[in-house]
Amino acid sequence: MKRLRPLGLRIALYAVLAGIAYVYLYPLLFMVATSFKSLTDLLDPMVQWLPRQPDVANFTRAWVVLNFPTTLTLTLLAALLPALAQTLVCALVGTGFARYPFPGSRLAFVLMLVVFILPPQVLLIPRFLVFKDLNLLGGLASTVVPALLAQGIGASLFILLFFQFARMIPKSLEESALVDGAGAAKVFLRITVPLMAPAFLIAFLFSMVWYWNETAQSGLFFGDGWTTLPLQIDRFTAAFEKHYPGGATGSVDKINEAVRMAGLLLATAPLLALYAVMQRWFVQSIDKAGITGE
Amino acid sequence: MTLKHLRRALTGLAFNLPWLAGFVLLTVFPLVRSFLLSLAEVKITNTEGIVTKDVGLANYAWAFVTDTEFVTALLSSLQHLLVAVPVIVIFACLIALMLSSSFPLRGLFRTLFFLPVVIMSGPLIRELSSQGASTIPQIEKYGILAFLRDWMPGFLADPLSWLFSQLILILWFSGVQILVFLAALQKLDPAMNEAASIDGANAWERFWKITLPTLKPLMLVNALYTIVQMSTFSENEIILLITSNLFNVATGFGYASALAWSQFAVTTLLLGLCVWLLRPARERRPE
Repeated sequence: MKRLRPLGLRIALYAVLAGIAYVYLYPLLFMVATSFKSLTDLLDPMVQWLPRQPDVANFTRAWVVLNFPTTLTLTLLAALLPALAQTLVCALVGTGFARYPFPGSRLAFVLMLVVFILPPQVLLIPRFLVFKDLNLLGGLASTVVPALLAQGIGASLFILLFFQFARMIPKSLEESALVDGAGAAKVFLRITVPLMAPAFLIAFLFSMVWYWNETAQSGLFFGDGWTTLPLQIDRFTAAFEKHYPGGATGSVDKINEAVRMAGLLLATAPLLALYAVMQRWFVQSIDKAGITGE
Repeated sequence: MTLKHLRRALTGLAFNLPWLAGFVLLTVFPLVRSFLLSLAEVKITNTEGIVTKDVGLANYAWAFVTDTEFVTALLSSLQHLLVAVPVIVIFACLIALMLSSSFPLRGLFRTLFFLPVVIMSGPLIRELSSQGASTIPQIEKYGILAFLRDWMPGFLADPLSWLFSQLILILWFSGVQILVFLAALQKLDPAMNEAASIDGANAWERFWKITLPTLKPLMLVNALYTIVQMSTFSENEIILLITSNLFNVATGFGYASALAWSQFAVTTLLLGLCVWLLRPARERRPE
Protein backbone atom coordinates (compact mmCIF):
# COMPACT_ATOMS: atom_id res chain seq x y z
CA MET A 1 0.00 0.00 0.00
CA LYS A 2 2.60 2.49 -1.01
CA ARG A 3 0.28 4.54 -3.17
CA LEU A 4 -0.52 7.97 -1.81
CA ARG A 5 -4.16 8.35 -1.03
CA PRO A 6 -6.05 11.38 -2.34
CA LEU A 7 -5.91 14.39 -0.04
CA GLY A 8 -9.59 14.28 0.88
CA LEU A 9 -9.35 10.68 1.99
CA ARG A 10 -6.26 11.44 4.04
CA ILE A 11 -7.99 14.31 5.85
CA ALA A 12 -10.99 12.08 6.55
CA LEU A 13 -8.69 9.38 7.93
CA TYR A 14 -7.01 11.83 10.29
CA ALA A 15 -10.37 13.23 11.40
CA VAL A 16 -11.75 9.79 12.21
CA LEU A 17 -8.59 8.70 14.03
CA ALA A 18 -8.42 11.96 16.00
CA GLY A 19 -12.07 11.55 16.99
CA ILE A 20 -11.48 8.03 18.23
CA ALA A 21 -8.31 9.12 20.02
CA TYR A 22 -10.37 11.77 21.83
CA VAL A 23 -12.87 9.12 22.95
CA TYR A 24 -10.01 6.91 24.12
CA LEU A 25 -8.32 9.64 26.08
CA TYR A 26 -11.46 11.27 27.46
CA PRO A 27 -11.37 9.47 30.84
CA LEU A 28 -7.71 10.34 31.29
CA LEU A 29 -8.18 13.98 30.29
CA PHE A 30 -11.12 14.11 32.68
CA MET A 31 -8.96 12.64 35.43
CA VAL A 32 -6.16 15.15 34.90
CA ALA A 33 -8.48 18.16 34.57
CA THR A 34 -10.55 17.24 37.63
CA SER A 35 -7.54 16.52 39.81
CA PHE A 36 -6.39 20.15 39.58
CA LYS A 37 -9.78 21.67 40.40
CA SER A 38 -10.36 23.58 43.62
CA LEU A 39 -13.67 23.27 45.43
CA THR A 40 -15.10 26.38 43.74
CA ASP A 41 -14.05 25.11 40.32
CA LEU A 42 -15.72 21.77 41.02
CA LEU A 43 -19.00 23.46 41.88
CA ASP A 44 -18.87 25.87 38.96
CA PRO A 45 -20.44 24.27 35.86
CA MET A 46 -18.65 26.84 33.67
CA VAL A 47 -15.28 25.29 34.48
CA GLN A 48 -15.02 22.16 32.43
CA TRP A 49 -11.46 21.50 31.33
CA LEU A 50 -9.16 24.24 32.57
CA PRO A 51 -9.31 25.00 36.30
CA ARG A 52 -9.17 28.73 37.05
CA GLN A 53 -6.40 28.29 39.57
CA PRO A 54 -4.72 24.92 39.42
CA ASP A 55 -5.00 23.52 42.93
CA VAL A 56 -2.08 21.35 43.98
CA ALA A 57 -3.57 20.80 47.43
CA ASN A 58 -5.50 17.82 46.03
CA PHE A 59 -2.24 16.09 45.28
CA THR A 60 -0.65 16.76 48.66
CA ARG A 61 -3.76 15.32 50.33
CA ALA A 62 -3.92 12.30 48.03
CA TRP A 63 -0.17 11.76 48.60
CA VAL A 64 -0.77 11.55 52.35
CA VAL A 65 -3.92 9.43 52.04
CA LEU A 66 -2.25 6.91 49.72
CA ASN A 67 0.89 6.97 51.88
CA PHE A 68 2.51 7.27 48.49
CA PRO A 69 6.23 6.50 48.95
CA THR A 70 5.61 3.39 51.06
CA THR A 71 2.74 2.10 48.96
CA LEU A 72 4.71 2.68 45.76
CA THR A 73 7.59 0.60 47.11
CA LEU A 74 5.19 -2.17 48.14
CA THR A 75 3.51 -2.07 44.71
CA LEU A 76 6.84 -2.22 42.90
CA LEU A 77 7.84 -5.29 44.91
CA ALA A 78 4.42 -6.90 44.39
CA ALA A 79 4.76 -6.38 40.63
CA LEU A 80 8.48 -6.98 40.07
CA LEU A 81 9.06 -10.16 42.05
CA PRO A 82 6.26 -12.30 40.58
CA ALA A 83 6.99 -10.86 37.12
CA LEU A 84 10.63 -11.86 37.40
CA ALA A 85 9.77 -15.35 38.65
CA GLN A 86 7.13 -15.81 35.97
CA THR A 87 9.39 -14.66 33.12
CA LEU A 88 12.26 -16.99 34.04
CA VAL A 89 10.06 -20.03 34.59
CA CYS A 90 7.99 -19.49 31.45
CA ALA A 91 11.20 -19.20 29.40
CA LEU A 92 12.29 -22.57 30.72
CA VAL A 93 8.93 -24.24 30.11
CA GLY A 94 8.46 -22.69 26.66
CA THR A 95 11.90 -23.89 25.57
CA GLY A 96 11.14 -27.34 26.94
CA PHE A 97 7.94 -27.59 24.92
CA ALA A 98 9.66 -26.36 21.76
CA ARG A 99 12.89 -28.33 21.93
CA TYR A 100 12.72 -31.36 24.18
CA PRO A 101 9.53 -33.35 23.52
CA PHE A 102 8.74 -36.07 26.04
CA PRO A 103 5.96 -38.65 25.97
CA GLY A 104 2.74 -36.72 26.51
CA SER A 105 4.26 -33.31 25.88
CA ARG A 106 1.73 -32.57 23.13
CA LEU A 107 -1.14 -33.25 25.50
CA ALA A 108 0.57 -31.15 28.15
CA PHE A 109 0.91 -28.31 25.66
CA VAL A 110 -2.81 -28.38 24.85
CA LEU A 111 -3.69 -28.49 28.56
CA MET A 112 -1.36 -25.54 29.11
CA LEU A 113 -3.33 -23.53 26.54
CA VAL A 114 -6.67 -24.63 28.03
CA VAL A 115 -5.58 -23.16 31.38
CA PHE A 116 -5.82 -19.75 29.71
CA ILE A 117 -9.62 -19.95 29.47
CA LEU A 118 -10.05 -21.21 33.04
CA PRO A 119 -11.64 -18.40 34.99
CA PRO A 120 -9.33 -17.45 37.86
CA GLN A 121 -12.29 -17.21 40.21
CA VAL A 122 -12.86 -20.99 39.99
CA LEU A 123 -9.33 -21.50 41.27
CA LEU A 124 -9.41 -18.57 43.68
CA ILE A 125 -11.24 -20.28 46.54
CA PRO A 126 -9.33 -23.59 46.67
CA ARG A 127 -5.99 -21.81 46.20
CA PHE A 128 -6.94 -19.52 49.06
CA LEU A 129 -7.61 -22.58 51.24
CA VAL A 130 -4.32 -24.25 50.23
CA PHE A 131 -2.30 -21.10 50.90
CA LYS A 132 -4.09 -20.70 54.21
CA ASP A 133 -3.00 -24.20 55.22
CA LEU A 134 0.56 -23.50 54.08
CA ASN A 135 0.61 -20.13 55.84
CA LEU A 136 1.43 -18.28 52.63
CA LEU A 137 -1.36 -15.70 52.89
CA GLY A 138 -0.78 -12.08 53.77
CA GLY A 139 2.41 -11.62 51.76
CA LEU A 140 4.14 -11.83 48.43
CA ALA A 141 4.57 -15.62 48.72
CA SER A 142 0.91 -15.97 47.66
CA THR A 143 1.68 -14.47 44.25
CA VAL A 144 5.34 -15.50 43.82
CA VAL A 145 4.73 -19.22 44.42
CA PRO A 146 2.16 -19.61 41.59
CA ALA A 147 4.47 -17.57 39.34
CA LEU A 148 7.39 -19.91 40.13
CA LEU A 149 5.20 -22.88 39.18
CA ALA A 150 4.17 -21.25 35.86
CA GLN A 151 0.59 -20.70 37.06
CA GLY A 152 0.73 -16.92 37.42
CA ILE A 153 -1.26 -14.26 35.59
CA GLY A 154 -1.24 -14.92 31.86
CA ALA A 155 1.41 -17.65 32.22
CA SER A 156 -0.03 -19.63 29.29
CA LEU A 157 0.45 -16.66 26.97
CA PHE A 158 4.06 -16.19 28.03
CA ILE A 159 4.89 -19.90 27.67
CA LEU A 160 3.43 -19.67 24.17
CA LEU A 161 5.58 -16.59 23.48
CA PHE A 162 8.79 -18.33 24.54
CA PHE A 163 7.71 -21.47 22.65
CA GLN A 164 7.43 -19.44 19.44
CA PHE A 165 10.81 -17.79 20.01
CA ALA A 166 12.57 -21.04 20.85
CA ARG A 167 11.15 -22.68 17.73
CA MET A 168 12.59 -19.94 15.53
CA ILE A 169 16.16 -20.57 16.72
CA PRO A 170 17.96 -22.72 14.13
CA LYS A 171 18.23 -26.27 15.46
CA SER A 172 21.74 -26.64 14.08
CA LEU A 173 23.03 -24.03 16.54
CA GLU A 174 21.94 -26.06 19.54
CA GLU A 175 22.87 -29.40 18.04
CA SER A 176 26.42 -28.37 17.24
CA ALA A 177 26.80 -27.19 20.83
CA LEU A 178 25.42 -30.52 22.07
CA VAL A 179 27.88 -32.39 19.85
CA ASP A 180 30.68 -30.28 21.29
CA GLY A 181 29.73 -31.67 24.67
CA ALA A 182 27.64 -28.89 26.19
CA GLY A 183 24.75 -30.05 28.39
CA ALA A 184 21.15 -28.95 27.84
CA ALA A 185 21.45 -26.44 30.68
CA LYS A 186 24.52 -24.85 29.14
CA VAL A 187 22.89 -24.70 25.70
CA PHE A 188 19.87 -23.01 27.26
CA LEU A 189 21.91 -20.42 29.15
CA ARG A 190 24.51 -19.72 26.47
CA ILE A 191 22.49 -19.98 23.25
CA THR A 192 18.73 -19.98 23.82
CA VAL A 193 18.48 -17.27 26.46
CA PRO A 194 20.54 -14.62 24.61
CA LEU A 195 18.58 -15.25 21.41
CA MET A 196 15.27 -14.89 23.25
CA ALA A 197 16.17 -11.52 24.79
CA PRO A 198 13.21 -9.66 23.22
CA ALA A 199 10.81 -12.32 24.53
CA PHE A 200 12.23 -11.85 28.02
CA LEU A 201 11.63 -8.12 27.89
CA ILE A 202 8.10 -8.47 26.52
CA ALA A 203 7.10 -11.17 29.02
CA PHE A 204 8.58 -9.20 31.89
CA LEU A 205 6.89 -5.93 30.94
CA PHE A 206 3.45 -7.47 30.48
CA SER A 207 3.76 -9.60 33.62
CA MET A 208 4.74 -6.56 35.61
CA VAL A 209 1.87 -4.46 34.36
CA TRP A 210 -0.66 -7.25 34.90
CA TYR A 211 0.59 -7.98 38.41
CA TRP A 212 0.51 -4.27 39.14
CA ASN A 213 -3.10 -3.92 38.03
CA GLU A 214 -4.47 -7.17 39.43
CA THR A 215 -6.68 -6.68 42.49
CA ALA A 216 -9.28 -9.46 42.71
CA GLN A 217 -6.78 -12.13 43.71
CA SER A 218 -4.22 -10.01 45.53
CA GLY A 219 -6.93 -8.25 47.52
CA LEU A 220 -8.02 -11.63 48.86
CA PHE A 221 -4.56 -13.19 49.29
CA PHE A 222 -2.74 -10.17 50.74
CA GLY A 223 -5.41 -9.35 53.31
CA ASP A 224 -3.99 -6.69 55.60
CA GLY A 225 -0.45 -7.98 55.23
CA TRP A 226 0.49 -6.18 52.04
CA THR A 227 -0.99 -3.52 49.80
CA THR A 228 -0.63 -1.96 46.37
CA LEU A 229 -1.64 1.38 44.86
CA PRO A 230 -4.73 -0.03 43.09
CA LEU A 231 -5.83 -1.70 46.33
CA GLN A 232 -5.36 1.60 48.18
CA ILE A 233 -7.54 3.33 45.57
CA ASP A 234 -10.30 0.94 46.62
CA ARG A 235 -9.82 1.95 50.25
CA PHE A 236 -9.35 5.65 49.44
CA THR A 237 -12.52 6.96 51.12
CA ALA A 238 -11.86 5.11 54.36
CA ALA A 239 -8.21 6.17 54.40
CA PHE A 240 -9.14 9.79 53.67
CA GLU A 241 -11.55 9.92 56.57
CA LYS A 242 -8.88 8.54 58.85
CA HIS A 243 -6.37 11.22 57.85
CA TYR A 244 -8.80 14.14 57.64
CA PRO A 245 -11.57 13.38 60.11
CA GLY A 246 -14.63 15.45 60.76
CA GLY A 247 -14.76 17.74 57.74
CA ALA A 248 -18.25 19.18 57.46
CA THR A 249 -20.03 18.92 54.11
CA GLY A 250 -18.64 21.50 51.71
CA SER A 251 -15.53 22.20 53.75
CA VAL A 252 -12.09 21.74 52.22
CA ASP A 253 -11.39 18.69 54.36
CA LYS A 254 -14.31 16.76 52.91
CA ILE A 255 -13.48 14.17 50.30
CA ASN A 256 -14.44 15.23 46.78
CA GLU A 257 -13.95 14.18 43.17
CA ALA A 258 -10.86 16.32 42.78
CA VAL A 259 -9.00 14.54 45.58
CA ARG A 260 -10.15 11.15 44.33
CA MET A 261 -8.97 11.91 40.80
CA ALA A 262 -5.65 13.24 42.13
CA GLY A 263 -5.20 9.94 43.99
CA LEU A 264 -6.10 7.97 40.88
CA LEU A 265 -3.64 10.01 38.82
CA LEU A 266 -0.87 9.43 41.37
CA ALA A 267 -1.59 5.70 41.37
CA THR A 268 -1.62 5.51 37.56
CA ALA A 269 1.34 7.84 36.91
CA PRO A 270 4.08 5.18 37.35
CA LEU A 271 2.45 3.00 34.68
CA LEU A 272 2.01 5.98 32.35
CA ALA A 273 5.70 6.79 32.81
CA LEU A 274 6.69 3.18 32.12
CA TYR A 275 4.57 3.14 28.98
CA ALA A 276 6.02 6.43 27.80
CA VAL A 277 9.53 4.99 27.98
CA MET A 278 8.86 1.42 26.85
CA GLN A 279 5.90 1.85 24.48
CA ARG A 280 7.83 0.48 21.51
CA TRP A 281 8.21 -2.86 23.27
CA PHE A 282 4.59 -3.03 24.31
CA VAL A 283 3.30 -2.20 20.85
CA GLN A 284 5.64 -4.54 18.99
CA SER A 285 5.00 -7.44 21.33
CA ILE A 286 2.15 -9.00 19.40
CA ASP A 287 4.02 -8.73 16.12
CA LYS A 288 6.85 -10.67 17.69
CA ALA A 289 4.67 -13.23 19.44
CA GLY A 290 3.84 -14.97 16.19
CA ILE A 291 0.11 -15.49 16.84
CA THR A 292 -0.52 -14.53 13.25
CA GLY A 293 1.59 -17.38 11.92
CA GLU A 294 4.90 -17.15 10.15
CA MET B 1 19.58 -43.64 19.34
CA THR B 2 17.21 -44.82 22.03
CA LEU B 3 19.54 -43.53 24.71
CA LYS B 4 19.59 -40.15 22.99
CA HIS B 5 15.78 -40.12 22.88
CA LEU B 6 15.57 -41.03 26.53
CA ARG B 7 17.96 -38.22 27.40
CA ARG B 8 15.89 -35.79 25.36
CA ALA B 9 12.68 -36.87 27.06
CA LEU B 10 14.25 -36.57 30.49
CA THR B 11 15.59 -33.11 29.63
CA GLY B 12 12.10 -32.13 28.46
CA LEU B 13 10.61 -33.32 31.72
CA ALA B 14 13.22 -31.34 33.63
CA PHE B 15 12.44 -28.15 31.67
CA ASN B 16 8.71 -28.64 32.14
CA LEU B 17 8.88 -29.70 35.76
CA PRO B 18 7.77 -26.31 37.17
CA TRP B 19 4.74 -26.24 34.91
CA LEU B 20 3.83 -29.90 35.51
CA ALA B 21 4.09 -29.49 39.28
CA GLY B 22 2.17 -26.21 39.20
CA PHE B 23 -0.49 -27.61 36.90
CA VAL B 24 -1.20 -30.52 39.25
CA LEU B 25 -0.85 -28.65 42.55
CA LEU B 26 -2.30 -25.25 41.70
CA THR B 27 -4.72 -25.99 38.87
CA VAL B 28 -5.98 -29.60 38.71
CA PHE B 29 -6.15 -30.17 42.44
CA PRO B 30 -7.87 -26.82 43.14
CA LEU B 31 -10.29 -27.44 40.26
CA VAL B 32 -11.36 -30.77 41.73
CA ARG B 33 -11.56 -29.27 45.19
CA SER B 34 -13.60 -26.30 44.03
CA PHE B 35 -16.02 -28.64 42.27
CA LEU B 36 -16.39 -30.69 45.45
CA LEU B 37 -16.87 -27.50 47.45
CA SER B 38 -19.62 -26.44 45.05
CA LEU B 39 -21.51 -29.59 46.09
CA ALA B 40 -21.17 -28.86 49.79
CA GLU B 41 -22.03 -26.47 52.53
CA VAL B 42 -18.76 -25.03 53.79
CA LYS B 43 -18.27 -23.60 57.25
CA ILE B 44 -15.00 -22.18 58.49
CA THR B 45 -14.75 -22.66 62.22
CA ASN B 46 -12.02 -21.64 64.61
CA THR B 47 -11.92 -24.96 66.40
CA GLU B 48 -12.19 -27.55 63.64
CA GLY B 49 -10.95 -25.64 60.60
CA ILE B 50 -12.99 -26.12 57.46
CA VAL B 51 -16.12 -28.22 57.89
CA THR B 52 -17.96 -29.39 54.78
CA LYS B 53 -21.34 -31.04 54.58
CA ASP B 54 -22.40 -32.74 51.37
CA VAL B 55 -25.54 -31.14 49.98
CA GLY B 56 -25.57 -32.49 46.43
CA LEU B 57 -26.76 -30.03 43.83
CA ALA B 58 -28.51 -27.77 46.35
CA ASN B 59 -26.11 -24.87 45.74
CA TYR B 60 -26.77 -24.96 42.00
CA ALA B 61 -30.51 -25.29 42.54
CA TRP B 62 -30.41 -22.29 44.86
CA ALA B 63 -28.41 -20.26 42.35
CA PHE B 64 -30.67 -20.90 39.39
CA VAL B 65 -34.08 -21.23 41.08
CA THR B 66 -34.08 -19.10 44.21
CA ASP B 67 -31.27 -16.53 43.91
CA THR B 68 -32.74 -13.94 41.57
CA GLU B 69 -29.62 -11.84 41.93
CA PHE B 70 -27.42 -14.48 40.29
CA VAL B 71 -29.78 -15.21 37.39
CA THR B 72 -30.11 -11.48 36.71
CA ALA B 73 -26.35 -10.97 36.83
CA LEU B 74 -25.74 -13.98 34.58
CA LEU B 75 -28.28 -12.83 32.01
CA SER B 76 -27.06 -9.26 31.95
CA SER B 77 -23.41 -10.28 31.68
CA LEU B 78 -24.36 -12.58 28.79
CA GLN B 79 -26.25 -9.73 27.12
CA HIS B 80 -23.25 -7.46 27.59
CA LEU B 81 -20.87 -10.01 26.09
CA LEU B 82 -23.14 -10.58 23.11
CA VAL B 83 -23.08 -6.83 22.42
CA ALA B 84 -19.48 -6.11 23.34
CA VAL B 85 -17.70 -8.97 21.57
CA PRO B 86 -18.91 -8.15 18.02
CA VAL B 87 -18.47 -4.43 18.69
CA ILE B 88 -14.89 -4.90 19.88
CA VAL B 89 -13.91 -7.31 17.11
CA ILE B 90 -15.36 -5.13 14.34
CA PHE B 91 -14.01 -1.92 15.86
CA ALA B 92 -10.52 -3.42 16.26
CA CYS B 93 -10.67 -4.63 12.67
CA LEU B 94 -11.60 -1.16 11.37
CA ILE B 95 -8.90 0.57 13.41
CA ALA B 96 -6.31 -1.95 12.22
CA LEU B 97 -7.34 -1.33 8.60
CA MET B 98 -6.98 2.42 9.11
CA LEU B 99 -3.55 1.98 10.68
CA SER B 100 -2.28 -0.56 8.17
CA SER B 101 -1.05 1.93 5.59
CA SER B 102 1.87 4.09 6.59
CA PHE B 103 1.28 7.81 7.19
CA PRO B 104 2.72 10.42 9.54
CA LEU B 105 1.59 10.08 13.18
CA ARG B 106 0.55 6.47 12.62
CA GLY B 107 2.82 5.32 15.45
CA LEU B 108 1.29 7.86 17.80
CA PHE B 109 -2.25 6.61 17.17
CA ARG B 110 -1.13 3.02 17.61
CA THR B 111 0.48 3.93 20.92
CA LEU B 112 -2.66 5.71 22.10
CA PHE B 113 -4.98 2.84 21.26
CA PHE B 114 -2.79 0.41 23.18
CA LEU B 115 -2.43 2.63 26.26
CA PRO B 116 -5.49 1.23 28.10
CA VAL B 117 -4.01 -2.28 28.09
CA VAL B 118 -1.18 -1.00 30.25
CA ILE B 119 -3.17 1.02 32.79
CA MET B 120 -6.46 -0.88 33.03
CA SER B 121 -7.28 -2.16 36.50
CA GLY B 122 -10.49 -2.82 38.38
CA PRO B 123 -10.18 0.18 40.72
CA LEU B 124 -9.31 2.53 37.84
CA ILE B 125 -12.38 1.49 35.87
CA ARG B 126 -14.58 1.65 38.97
CA GLU B 127 -13.39 5.16 39.88
CA LEU B 128 -13.77 6.51 36.36
CA SER B 129 -17.24 4.94 35.98
CA SER B 130 -18.39 6.40 39.26
CA GLN B 131 -17.31 9.86 38.06
CA GLY B 132 -19.26 9.38 34.84
CA ALA B 133 -16.07 9.38 32.77
CA SER B 134 -16.77 5.98 31.20
CA THR B 135 -18.54 7.59 28.27
CA ILE B 136 -18.25 10.87 26.42
CA PRO B 137 -20.79 13.48 27.60
CA GLN B 138 -21.90 14.12 24.01
CA ILE B 139 -23.86 10.86 24.05
CA GLU B 140 -26.00 11.95 26.98
CA LYS B 141 -26.25 15.50 25.62
CA TYR B 142 -27.75 14.52 22.29
CA GLY B 143 -30.23 12.23 23.99
CA ILE B 144 -29.13 9.00 22.37
CA LEU B 145 -29.93 7.03 25.52
CA ALA B 146 -33.40 8.54 25.91
CA PHE B 147 -34.07 7.86 22.23
CA LEU B 148 -33.11 4.21 22.63
CA ARG B 149 -35.29 3.76 25.68
CA ASP B 150 -38.28 5.32 23.96
CA TRP B 151 -38.07 3.60 20.62
CA MET B 152 -36.63 0.17 21.18
CA PRO B 153 -38.05 -2.93 22.82
CA GLY B 154 -36.49 -3.59 26.22
CA PHE B 155 -34.38 -6.56 25.24
CA LEU B 156 -32.59 -4.41 22.64
CA ALA B 157 -32.63 -1.08 24.44
CA ASP B 158 -31.00 -2.37 27.62
CA PRO B 159 -27.84 -3.80 26.07
CA LEU B 160 -27.58 -0.91 23.59
CA SER B 161 -27.88 1.76 26.22
CA TRP B 162 -25.31 -0.15 28.28
CA LEU B 163 -23.07 -0.07 25.20
CA PHE B 164 -23.37 3.70 24.88
CA SER B 165 -23.08 4.40 28.59
CA GLN B 166 -19.89 2.34 28.82
CA LEU B 167 -18.61 3.09 25.33
CA ILE B 168 -15.10 4.14 26.27
CA LEU B 169 -14.48 1.28 28.64
CA ILE B 170 -15.64 -1.21 26.02
CA LEU B 171 -13.29 0.32 23.47
CA TRP B 172 -10.55 0.15 26.09
CA PHE B 173 -10.80 -3.63 25.90
CA SER B 174 -9.73 -3.67 22.25
CA GLY B 175 -6.02 -2.73 22.49
CA VAL B 176 -4.59 -6.21 22.06
CA GLN B 177 -7.10 -7.12 19.36
CA ILE B 178 -6.16 -4.09 17.23
CA LEU B 179 -2.52 -5.13 17.30
CA VAL B 180 -3.35 -8.73 16.43
CA PHE B 181 -5.23 -7.62 13.30
CA LEU B 182 -2.50 -5.11 12.48
CA ALA B 183 0.21 -7.78 12.68
CA ALA B 184 -1.76 -9.92 10.22
CA LEU B 185 -2.34 -7.03 7.82
CA GLN B 186 1.34 -6.19 7.77
CA LYS B 187 2.23 -9.74 6.81
CA LEU B 188 -0.21 -9.63 3.91
CA ASP B 189 1.82 -9.87 0.70
CA PRO B 190 1.30 -6.65 -1.34
CA ALA B 191 2.05 -8.65 -4.50
CA MET B 192 -1.26 -10.43 -4.01
CA ASN B 193 -3.19 -7.17 -4.07
CA GLU B 194 -1.22 -5.97 -7.08
CA ALA B 195 -1.88 -9.13 -9.00
CA ALA B 196 -5.58 -8.92 -8.23
CA SER B 197 -5.79 -5.31 -9.31
CA ILE B 198 -3.98 -6.10 -12.58
CA ASP B 199 -6.62 -8.77 -13.13
CA GLY B 200 -9.21 -6.02 -12.75
CA ALA B 201 -10.37 -6.39 -9.14
CA ASN B 202 -11.35 -3.06 -7.58
CA ALA B 203 -10.59 -2.04 -3.99
CA TRP B 204 -13.94 -3.33 -2.74
CA GLU B 205 -13.45 -6.75 -4.29
CA ARG B 206 -9.86 -6.94 -3.07
CA PHE B 207 -11.07 -6.19 0.47
CA TRP B 208 -13.63 -8.99 0.45
CA LYS B 209 -11.53 -11.57 -1.36
CA ILE B 210 -8.05 -10.92 0.01
CA THR B 211 -8.00 -8.80 3.17
CA LEU B 212 -11.01 -10.25 4.97
CA PRO B 213 -10.08 -13.92 4.46
CA THR B 214 -6.65 -13.09 5.94
CA LEU B 215 -8.27 -11.58 9.00
CA LYS B 216 -10.94 -14.23 9.53
CA PRO B 217 -8.91 -16.75 11.56
CA LEU B 218 -7.77 -13.88 13.76
CA MET B 219 -11.36 -12.80 14.30
CA LEU B 220 -11.82 -16.10 16.11
CA VAL B 221 -8.65 -15.54 18.16
CA ASN B 222 -9.79 -12.04 19.04
CA ALA B 223 -13.36 -13.05 19.86
CA LEU B 224 -12.08 -15.75 22.21
CA TYR B 225 -9.60 -13.35 23.78
CA THR B 226 -12.32 -10.74 24.29
CA ILE B 227 -14.68 -13.22 25.96
CA VAL B 228 -11.98 -14.51 28.29
CA GLN B 229 -10.76 -11.01 29.11
CA MET B 230 -14.21 -9.62 29.84
CA SER B 231 -15.50 -12.58 31.80
CA THR B 232 -12.43 -12.69 34.03
CA PHE B 233 -12.21 -8.93 34.58
CA SER B 234 -12.65 -8.10 38.24
CA GLU B 235 -15.51 -5.68 37.52
CA ASN B 236 -17.63 -8.36 35.83
CA GLU B 237 -20.98 -8.51 37.65
CA ILE B 238 -20.78 -12.25 38.31
CA ILE B 239 -17.27 -11.99 39.68
CA LEU B 240 -18.42 -9.24 42.03
CA LEU B 241 -21.25 -11.54 43.14
CA ILE B 242 -18.85 -14.45 43.68
CA THR B 243 -16.54 -12.30 45.77
CA SER B 244 -19.39 -10.93 47.85
CA ASN B 245 -20.68 -14.46 48.51
CA LEU B 246 -17.24 -15.71 49.48
CA PHE B 247 -17.33 -14.15 52.91
CA ASN B 248 -21.08 -14.06 53.30
CA VAL B 249 -21.83 -16.09 56.43
CA ALA B 250 -25.15 -17.36 55.08
CA THR B 251 -23.77 -18.69 51.76
CA GLY B 252 -19.99 -18.99 51.90
CA PHE B 253 -17.33 -20.85 49.92
CA GLY B 254 -19.57 -23.69 48.77
CA TYR B 255 -22.12 -21.39 47.18
CA ALA B 256 -19.44 -19.09 45.73
CA SER B 257 -17.79 -22.13 44.12
CA ALA B 258 -21.12 -23.18 42.60
CA LEU B 259 -21.51 -19.68 41.12
CA ALA B 260 -17.96 -19.77 39.73
CA TRP B 261 -18.58 -23.16 38.09
CA SER B 262 -21.90 -22.02 36.65
CA GLN B 263 -20.22 -18.98 35.11
CA PHE B 264 -17.42 -21.16 33.78
CA ALA B 265 -19.95 -23.47 32.13
CA VAL B 266 -21.76 -20.56 30.49
CA THR B 267 -18.49 -18.96 29.32
CA THR B 268 -17.32 -22.26 27.86
CA LEU B 269 -20.60 -22.59 25.95
CA LEU B 270 -20.12 -19.08 24.62
CA LEU B 271 -16.54 -19.85 23.56
CA GLY B 272 -17.80 -22.98 21.82
CA LEU B 273 -20.48 -20.96 20.04
CA CYS B 274 -17.80 -18.53 18.84
CA VAL B 275 -15.59 -21.33 17.54
CA TRP B 276 -18.57 -22.78 15.68
CA LEU B 277 -19.64 -19.43 14.19
CA LEU B 278 -16.14 -18.45 13.06
CA ARG B 279 -14.91 -21.95 12.19
CA PRO B 280 -12.67 -22.15 9.17
CA ALA B 281 -14.55 -23.03 6.00
CA ARG B 282 -13.99 -26.61 4.93
CA GLU B 283 -11.64 -27.02 2.00
CA ARG B 284 -13.64 -27.65 -1.11
CA ARG B 285 -12.50 -30.86 -2.71
CA PRO B 286 -12.67 -31.22 -6.47
CA GLU B 287 -15.44 -33.61 -7.42
